[in-house]
This record gives sequence, C-alpha cells and structure tokens, in this order.
Amino acid sequence: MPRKVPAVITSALLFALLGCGDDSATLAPTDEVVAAADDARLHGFVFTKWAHHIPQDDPGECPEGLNVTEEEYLSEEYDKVRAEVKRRYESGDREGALSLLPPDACKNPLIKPDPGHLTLDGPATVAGINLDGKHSNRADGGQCAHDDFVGPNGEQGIDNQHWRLYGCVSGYRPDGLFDRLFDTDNPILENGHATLLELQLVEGSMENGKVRAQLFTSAGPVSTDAHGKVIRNMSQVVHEDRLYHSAVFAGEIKDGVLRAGPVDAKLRFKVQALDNHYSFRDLQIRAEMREDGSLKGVVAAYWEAENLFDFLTSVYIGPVHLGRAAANNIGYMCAGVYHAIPRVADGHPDPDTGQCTTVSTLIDFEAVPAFVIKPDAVAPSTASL
Amino acid sequence: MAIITPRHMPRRTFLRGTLGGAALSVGLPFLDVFLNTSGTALAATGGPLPQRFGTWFFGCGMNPARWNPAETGADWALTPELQPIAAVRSRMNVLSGFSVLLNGEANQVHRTGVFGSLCGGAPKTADSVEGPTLDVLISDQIGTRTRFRSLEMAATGSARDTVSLRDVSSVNAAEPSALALYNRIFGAGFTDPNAADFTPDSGTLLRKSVLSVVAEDRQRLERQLGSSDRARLDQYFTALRQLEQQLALQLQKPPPLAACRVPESAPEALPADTEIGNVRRNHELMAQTLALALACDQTRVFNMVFSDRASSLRMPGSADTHHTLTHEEPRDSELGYQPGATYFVLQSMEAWASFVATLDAIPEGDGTLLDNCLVMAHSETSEANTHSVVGLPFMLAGTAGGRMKTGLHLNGTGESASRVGLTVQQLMGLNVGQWGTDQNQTDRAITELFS
Amino acid sequence: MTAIKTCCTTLLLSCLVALSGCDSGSVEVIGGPVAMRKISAEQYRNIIADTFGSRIEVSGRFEPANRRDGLNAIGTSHVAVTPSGFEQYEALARSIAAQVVASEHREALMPCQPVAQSAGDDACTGEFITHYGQQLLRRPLTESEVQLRVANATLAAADSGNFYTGIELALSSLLVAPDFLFRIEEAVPAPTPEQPDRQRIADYTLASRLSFFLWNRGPDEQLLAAAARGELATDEGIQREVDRMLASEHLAGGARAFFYDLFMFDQFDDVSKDAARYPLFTRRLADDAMEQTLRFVVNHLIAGSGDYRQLFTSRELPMTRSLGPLYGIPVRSADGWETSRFPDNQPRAGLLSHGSFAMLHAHPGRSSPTLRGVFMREALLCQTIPEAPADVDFTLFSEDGNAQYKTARERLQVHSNEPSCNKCHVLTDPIGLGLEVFDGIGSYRAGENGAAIDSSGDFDGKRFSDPVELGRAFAENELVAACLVENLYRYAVGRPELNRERRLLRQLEKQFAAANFTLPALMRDIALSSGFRTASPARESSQNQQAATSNAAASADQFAKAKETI
Repeated sequence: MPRKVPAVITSALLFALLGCGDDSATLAPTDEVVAAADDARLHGFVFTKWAHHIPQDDPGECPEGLNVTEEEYLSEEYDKVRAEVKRRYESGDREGALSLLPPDACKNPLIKPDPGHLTLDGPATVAGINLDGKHSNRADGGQCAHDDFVGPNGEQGIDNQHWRLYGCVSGYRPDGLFDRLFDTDNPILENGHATLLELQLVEGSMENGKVRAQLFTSAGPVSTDAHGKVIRNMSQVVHEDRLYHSAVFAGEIKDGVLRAGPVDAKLRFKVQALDNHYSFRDLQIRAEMREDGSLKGVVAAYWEAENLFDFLTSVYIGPVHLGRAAANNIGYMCAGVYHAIPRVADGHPDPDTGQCTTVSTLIDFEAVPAFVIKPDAVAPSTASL
Repeated sequence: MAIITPRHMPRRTFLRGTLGGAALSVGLPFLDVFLNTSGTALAATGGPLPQRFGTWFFGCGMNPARWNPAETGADWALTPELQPIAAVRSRMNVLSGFSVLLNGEANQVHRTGVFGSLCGGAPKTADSVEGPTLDVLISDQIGTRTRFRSLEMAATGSARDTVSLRDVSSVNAAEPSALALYNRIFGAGFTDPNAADFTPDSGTLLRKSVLSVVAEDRQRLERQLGSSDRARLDQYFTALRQLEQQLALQLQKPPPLAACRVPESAPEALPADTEIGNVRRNHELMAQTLALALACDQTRVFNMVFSDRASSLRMPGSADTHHTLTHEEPRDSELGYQPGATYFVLQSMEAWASFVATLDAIPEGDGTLLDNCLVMAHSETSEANTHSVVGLPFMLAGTAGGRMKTGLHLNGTGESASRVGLTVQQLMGLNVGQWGTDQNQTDRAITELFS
Repeated sequence: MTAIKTCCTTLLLSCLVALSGCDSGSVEVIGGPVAMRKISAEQYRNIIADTFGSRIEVSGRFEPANRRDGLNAIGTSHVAVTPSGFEQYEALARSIAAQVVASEHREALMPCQPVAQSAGDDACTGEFITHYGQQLLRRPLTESEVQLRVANATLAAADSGNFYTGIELALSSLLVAPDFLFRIEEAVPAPTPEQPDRQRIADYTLASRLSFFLWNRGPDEQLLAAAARGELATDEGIQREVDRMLASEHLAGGARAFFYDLFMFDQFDDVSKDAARYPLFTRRLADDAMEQTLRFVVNHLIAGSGDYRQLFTSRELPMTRSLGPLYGIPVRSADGWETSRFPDNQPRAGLLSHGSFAMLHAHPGRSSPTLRGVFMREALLCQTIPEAPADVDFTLFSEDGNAQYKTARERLQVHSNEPSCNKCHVLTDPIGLGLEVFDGIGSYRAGENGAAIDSSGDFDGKRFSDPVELGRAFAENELVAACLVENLYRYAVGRPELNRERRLLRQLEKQFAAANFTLPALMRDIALSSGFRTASPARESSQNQQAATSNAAASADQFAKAKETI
C-alpha cells in the first residue's frame, strides 16, 4: 500500500513500498543522532560487501553490441601516438603521456560532441526494489519515462536505470572487470572508510518489530582478522563530518526481513585512486536478518546524476586525472555516458525543466554486527552476539 | 690436538702484551699466545676435514608395527613409515628396539624417552634431568675450536623446544627461525675462511681484554659462594672462557675450506608457528643455513628440533595437534592405526630425509658434507599413544669421517638406548668406555656399526 | 586494621631485642640461605634505563626464563648462563657501552671530562667506573675492581688513541660481570644465644632484595645510601625505606612483575592459535589480552588499594579497541586503554573470565578445562596436581572421533569413570568446566557442537552455576589469599619457604586479612618480616634438604607437562 513520503523529499511522486501503514513509524528525517539511552535496543552493523548489482542470469541483450572505448573509436589518432604514450607513461611521465592524447572528455564532457552511448533497452531480470512504487513503461510517456525490470521472482516494477546505462558496457557485463572486482572483498578492505548502519528497536523484536535506522560513514577503515575478514563486534567510530551521517529513518522487520527508508545519504568512498562519495536520494534498504546476526540484502537509491558521472571519472593518481584511462579499461566513453545519463534518469525531476536529475541504482550488500561509536553520544550501541 | 688457551700465561701479562705498544699496528706478534703447549702454531693448512655431530629430534615417535623393519642387517625392506627415507637409506642406519629402561622410576611422559636417550638415564622426577645431553658432552670435546660451540634450532619457532642442556639450570635455547640462525652465523663476526686476505679485527682483541678483566675476579666471588651456586658460577666462567676462545680464533686466519660457500642472501622471514606447512618450510631453510655453517666450520655440533616433545604440529583448521591426535584419535579399524597422527609421522620422516639430503648435497673432500657428519635422529616415544619408551626410533646418518658403516638396520631387542649414545660418542672420537646410569649403564657400543 | 599493623611492627622491634617469647604480634624465624639469582630480562632493562636513561636501547635476545615451583623468580636462583646466553649478554654489553659513549649521549652521561680525548685519563676513568659501577652492581666497587678496569681502559685508550674506547671497554666489563648479571647475595653472622647460626642479610644485599621485590629494579641512590649508613639493619631504617618505596610510582612495576610471573605470562610468546578456528586471534590481540589482565590487577591492587579477593568478582576491566570484539564490548577510544565492564549478557566476572587465561590455558584449536583447572589449582590455590600416568588411552576424548559427545564435559566424563584419572581430574575438571563457555581464545559461547554448555559444578563443596559464581566461590575460598601470601613470599626470597618459615606465612596470612587483603600491606609485611631479613648459613645443602615440599607445580618443564593434560 503506497504511502506519502515526507515533504522534505523533493519529489511528490515517489512512493516507498515499505508497507508501513502506521504513520507513527514514519519519522521525518532529522539531524538528530539516535539517543543511545537503552543499549540493548541498539544494533550496529558494518558493511562487509558492497557491490553494484550486476544481474548474472539474465543481464539483458545488447543487440547493437557493447559500447566502444575512445581508444577504439579514435583508433587512428591513438595509433599515431601509442608508442610514445607508452614510452612516456612507463618512464613515469604520466602527464606528458596523456598530453599526447586527444582532448579529454572525462575532464570536461562538453568539449566534444556526443559520440553516442548504447544503453540496455530491452528486458532483463534484475533483483531490486520498486523505488517509485509504480509499474513504469516508456510507452506511457510522461515525465522521466522508463521501462521497469522484472525481478528474479517475477517482481514487477524494479527500478534500476543504472543498469540501463551500464548494461552494455563490457566492464559491467557478468564476469567483466567490475563484476570480478565486486566479487572480492577489495571494495570493503581497501576502502579508507567503512559504511555503518545502526538500528534502534522501538517496538517488537529483531524478528518482527519496528526500528529507527541511521547510516554512517566511519572515520576509519574496517578492522580485519587473521584471515583478512572483517571482525565482528568491532567498535567503529562514525565520520567526524556529519555530512556523512544520514538522517534517522524508519524501518520495519517482518519475519526476519528488514525494510527501511527512504532517506538521503552521502557515503564516503576512498579506494585506491578513487576518492569521492556517493550522493544518494531516497535510499531504501531491504535485507534478510540472518541467524548469525549478519545482514544480507540490497541498498536501492536514486543516484544524483552529477555525482554519478563524477564518481567514476574523477579518478586521480596524485595530480594526474585518470578518468579516461578508467573509461578505456571499463569500456565506455565519458562524453557518451554524460549525454546518456539524462536519457536514463528516472527520479527527482527538476521543478523548472521537468528533467529527471537522479538515476535509480541497486547495490548488493552484506553487513556484520559492529558497535557504532558516536563520539558525542553518551553510550554506543550493543552489537548482537 | 691443540686446544687454544692462554692459560699458561698470566692474564695480566697477556693483557699488556696484546694491548700495549705497537702490537696491533705491526700485525700479529701476539700470536704466540695462540700456540699450543708443544709450540706448534694452529693455523692449519689443509689438515683433516672437521667432523661434526648433530641430533635431529622429532616428537611423538611412530607406530612400531609400521615403522620397524622386519629384517636386520644390510638387506631390509622399507616399511610403510620408512618409505619417505627411501632415497637416503643407504646413507644411514636404522636402529629399532633400543629402550630407555625405567629403573623403577615413573615414566615422565614426553621427557623420559628423550632425556633418557640423551643423558644415559631416566630422569627421576618431573623437574630433574641428569645432564649433560650427548651433544654437550661431544661439543665439550670437538666444539671448542669453532666460533659456536654448538647451534640449537627449533623449526617450531619456539626457543623453549630445545632438547640440549648441560643440566636443568643451563638449557641451551634454540634459534626459532632460519633468519635468526642466518644472522647469528653469517652476520657480524663472520670471517670467510676462503677470503684472500685476513686482517685481525682490533675490536676483537679489545672484546677479549674485557673478558679477561672479568675473569680476574673469579676467586673473590667463589669464596663467597656455597657449592651449588659455585657450580653455577663455574658455568658462567665456562661460558666466558668459551667466548674468549671463540674470539681468539677470530684473531687467526681461518684455514681455507673448499666446501665453504657463503650464502648470498638471508633466508626469508617465515611465520613461526606449529602449522605443519610452516614448520616444514622453516626446517628446510634452517637445514640449508646450517649446512653452509657446517661447511664453513662455524660450528661442529648442532641440535635440530623438527617438532617439539609432545609434538604441537597441526594442520590448519584442525582442533587437534599431532600430540592430541596420538591420544584421542580412534584407531581406524581397517587400517589398524591412527591415520591423522600417522600423517605427522610421515611428515617427520620426509623432513628427516630432506635434512639428510641437504647435508649430502654439499661436496666436501672426496665425498659430501654428510660423510663428515654423524647425525642422530630420535624421538621421545615409540608408540606415542601409550607414551612407550620401549623400542624408540633411532637413525644415524653420515659416516663420521668414514668411521661408521651405513645402510643397516639393527634391532636392540629391548636393550638400553645408552648403547646408541655410547656408540655415538665413540664414533665422534671421545675416549669413553662406559656410559649411563643404573640399568642404563653400558660398556657395549654397537660395534656392528664400526667400519 | 591500621591499629593491628602498628601493633605488629612495634612488637617486631621488641621481638628483635628480646628474641624470645614473642607471641601474637610477629613471628621470628630465620630465613633460608641466601641465593645467587640471575636478573630477569625486564630487570636488566630497568637497570639500564635507570642508570643511563631510556634513550639507550636494549635490543637483544634473552634466554627464556626457567620456571620452578611455579615461579620464574625461584628459577632465577637455579639458572646459570649458557655459552650462547653469554654470547648474547656480551653483545648487549657492547651495544649499550657503544651507545653510552656515542657523541650524542656522552655529554649527558659522562660524570667528568677527560684531559684529552685522544689519551687515557685515569682519574676520569676511575670516576666513571666508580659512579656507574655502584649503580650497575648495586654496591660500591672494591678498589681492585676499579683499578683493573682503569688499567685496561688506559691501555685501550693509548692503543686506539681514544679516551672513550677505554670507557667503552670499562663499561662493557661491568655489564658482563657476574655480579651484574646475578644478584649474588651476602649474609653476615648475627648470632643470638638461642640461634647461634643466625645471619642477617648484608646491607647492600638487603637493599637489592627490597628493590627487586618491591620495584623489580635495582636500588636507587637513596636506598644505597641507607644501606651504606647501615640503616637497613635497623627497624626504623628499613621501615622508613620500605614505606618510601611503597609510596613510589615504581611499586606498580613491582606488583606487575610478580603477577606476570605468577600468571606465567612469559609463555604468551609461545601461544599460537589455529587461524581457521580462531581468526580473531592475532599477536596484537594476545598482547592486549595479557596487558589487560596486568593492568586490571595492578590498577585494582595498587592504584585502587583494592581487596585481592575482588579480583575474582570484579566486572570492570581495561579495554582496547582490538579486545572489544573478544568480549563483545563497544570501545570508544581508537587507540589506548579505557575502563570498561563485562557485558551484561555474558556470565563473566573477575580474572577467571579474562581472555588472557582462556588463551594461555588452552590448545591451539580448542579450549581445555583440564589445563584451566590445573592453573587454578596450582597457581591460585597452591595445590599440586600430579602428572598424568604414562599409559593412558585417551581415545575417548577426541573431538573429531567421538561425534556422540558434543561437549568437553561429556568427553571428560571418562575421567571420573576411570579411577586412575579421577584422582587428579576430580580436582581440575569441575572448575575448568566452569569456564567452558569461554572458547580457546576467551570468546563467549553458549554451546559447543550444537549442545548447550553446562557451566555448573562444585568447587570444594561450593556449588556454582556459571563463571560468575565460580569467581565468587574463589573470592570466598580461604586458600586463595593464603596462596597469594605463599607465592609472594617465595617470589620475594627466591626460594620455596622452609618448614620453619610456615609459622611466618600463617602470621602473614593473618596480617593480610587484617589489612583487608590489600597488596601493598602484604608487600610491606613481607619486606619487614624476619624471614626476608635473615638467613641461615646452610648454603651448601640448601636446595636439597631444607626446602619444604613445594606445593605449586615444580618444573622447568611445566609447559611440556601442561600440554600433556587435556
């Protein structure tokens, strides 16, 4: 049953399928840190997996093939300078090497005409959440029209325009570069920050009950054990910048399944050369609360378009911008993606132009119990044992 | 045989003679203090090759029914648990059936077998050992001319796992890693015997003078002490004297050793724990480093502990150690033995075979380094399940410079393991006719082994 | 309580005068023979730091300690120096001496300046040796000790053309001297008509006894000065010094060294755990767990002047970030220590619930009720657990081969059915099983192999249902405090008590109780006791004939033995 989301949220069209019929469970997002008066009702988690969802069994067809890279698209220009670029790059002169290449649209996508970008337009079986609460269809037209996906269990209305954007990029296809990366612990272990979730039980039990939730980026990385796995019940301090603390949002647990959100959240991400944050709107969590105290589920959200483009293109090693190198590796062109994003955007229309400003996305996650330490709060949460 | 000692010279004279005046600048006029009593200089020029003795210990024994060969003499068939030594069987002897006789004492589990074998008698109580162990007896005779009296190593990574001691108060700690062993031998103070030129280090001379100063005070201290403490002070001065002698050696040009090859780099640092894979690797690196140390004549006595008494070897992920398995694992009714515990017996035999092969891989004289070694492999039990000290496993590798025959299996039929210890001492040239205490006393060396 | 203590010390004075008919107040005994005790690695470091400052590094390997009668402190009276050990001491001595005369330290550390840097200077060398010799050897040097070193230094300086080469050698020779590496104790005759053999501990020896006992370091200048003036031989003099030392910040280090020894924490170096079963276990975790227990004990007993018995019931404990997951406790500070409490949802209280004990007294891959029971009986209750018989068939205890037995309790049930096992295991297993909810590294678990763990049992007639009640039963058991008195006394004098000293121990137990079981009071009473300050001459036969049967586990080989029991 659809319910109205708080007025703070820009789009009046968005609905969450949280089934919270009771308004009292829906808290307006506030800046308040959850008071930690009763420890036993606080349950902290640290994320141990964070993977942009790549549908494995039926990722959808790309009838026109996969996107080409700039290197392939401008192969003649590249061929002329390839040997020298390689020489300079290997001698350590990265800047000099890159200066030989054509103008870099990953730095400024507007310096080039749109070379085109192939999106995944057909059906695919994508797990996820119906973020807008609608069964959308491009044929219906209207603001930010898009085709929903069908979930693995036949769920209708799955919103994941991010997959339409990247579904025909080689690095995102099953067993591509990203798929293999997400299959490892690296996005967690190499991240300079951890992602934390805190649940406070306000009614019922952790099997069936109502919770207040809050997402945080932590001040430091995860702690690992002798096997290099994230340690359970470790204390994790929240980031000092409250920009990376979400507001408190409502959630409900039914038969061991947590549904929480929506909430806006910014989450820091600092892995190798990638130093940025995710800027998500109307994020929702759906996760199974497993017997060992861990969580396994998905985070679905609307990704702000500008941040989405910025996120993968602002890759630096020292002062050297490597966004184009990343694009060449992953299999797309920055200019193409830049112009494709507005075409797939499906959330948060600009009130003036009607253009959607966010792209629905889906992240698979797992989390284990942790203590979320808030330096200014009286007491931390208690991890479940 | 010359033993370097400046004892015939008053210490003060020695000090002045070496430190005073121009002695250092003109070379080695003080070499006269390193002459032996008959006046011949020690600086050897192609003398006989050094002979070495070592022990190689493995914990928790074997399964007698699967380890002991049936036939004796040269023509014996490899048994299931001796299969791993197939490639080196001709380079060693296998001795079964030698026991530590309890002499009415309790079997101090995991102690009686090893110290009974090494000391010639069963320990009487849980905290006593009638030292010294065999290696110390032998090093007192042959270990005084090298930089190190002996080298102790434990592949298990724990200094405590040593089985070498002079007595209960003077236990020789083991080097816990190949890297530490390497640094001790080939680090500071190492002189390549094959280097073209030799300049005695004036710092060595100064170090030696410090020890002389300390030794001056011995009598005053001894007057102050009772007998048991005086014995401990004697051990202190014995240790000091040994260092003095080592330093004296370093002031001499070492005789060239054709077999000596200085390792080019240090062995890698390994995790020091009792996981079988780590122990095997640590052991392998230690063996290689030791072999080079022996070839370069840095020591002539060594003790290698492959696994500790009451073996802590374990498989990754298992709740059990080799030791707990020997007691707790059910005997497989079809196989007739404990497969998990037996795995470690086979690992031990493989490690032993590789150790012997490592010594055998270094050419020396007309043969190999192993020919100029005598290495005794032994354990603290035969059947570990019952802590049996009857029919302990022994293996003697090398030929002790051609003095020992190899390739034989002999059965001691329950006689004292002191016979093995006495044999070893005689093979190493010690003038000893009788060894051991009480029931374990013997004057019967295993003459079948003498060539 | 204060009143009783004052009364005792007053009586002590009169006892010393009268030396007879001393009743309730204090017990006059003659202590055992003096000893020759090797200084420990930590004492070595402390002496170097006190003498030359903490910028001089002591980096080297020390020989492992030798445990006897449950204590390394007793082992120090038996252990000698091996050739390889001496090699290490000599290398350390050279490294320290080189640092002291190095240009960056020399100015601060030289008590005088040489006439010329390029030649010897007997006066300055002599001053250096006299000054540092007294600190290092803990007594003034004899004339010949100084002269020998001056002569050698002069020769070396002349030969090398460097004054400091001579100083370096002189210092090296002090650092390898037997009287530096050992505390060679002296006693002087102090006969009385009744006890013609009576000796008193010589002044400088007594100074060392006090400082190593109370501080785990060498005597400071003030203590040496008191010894020089003969004041330690008087009741007022020694009381004043002991009280000064009890008020010092070094007291915590002294208490810490005792518990480190008693709890066998030197064995932490050898603790390893199976990474697949205990992935949380790291070197860092082990180090923090050991430090946690030591901090807890020292904070409670010294800083808090707490009751020793409360160590077994307290729910407070110091905590670090890395220990948090072991106990399931949130930790606020990113690095460093904070005071925490055991979580309410776990049955934990006191020392017996600490991770350090769980880790140390367990196997690499699992817990061990028997090892834990042995430790509690031997170290905390001063009882003796005989060795296991040699020919036991342990097959029934295996975890892997006996799937029908889910828990250690079921597996160990065999012990009680087998008379040869039962006589010892009836002592160890019931209390060890009370801690089975703590796994091989001390994490809490409610069950094992799917079966619930039953933590209940009987401790010498007292029922308990979980580790909290077991801790309480310990706190209430008289043997616990008596055993501490016994161990601390043995630690102080470096040997087991003699039969004749048992009277003194009984008295010390009463005084400990009267002082609310506070450790500084007990340390004071021991330091001032007759047994600590006197000796008998029978040095020759000391070890063999007069030593009382040792109650605690006696063995250089204790570790191997411990591994033997399940």
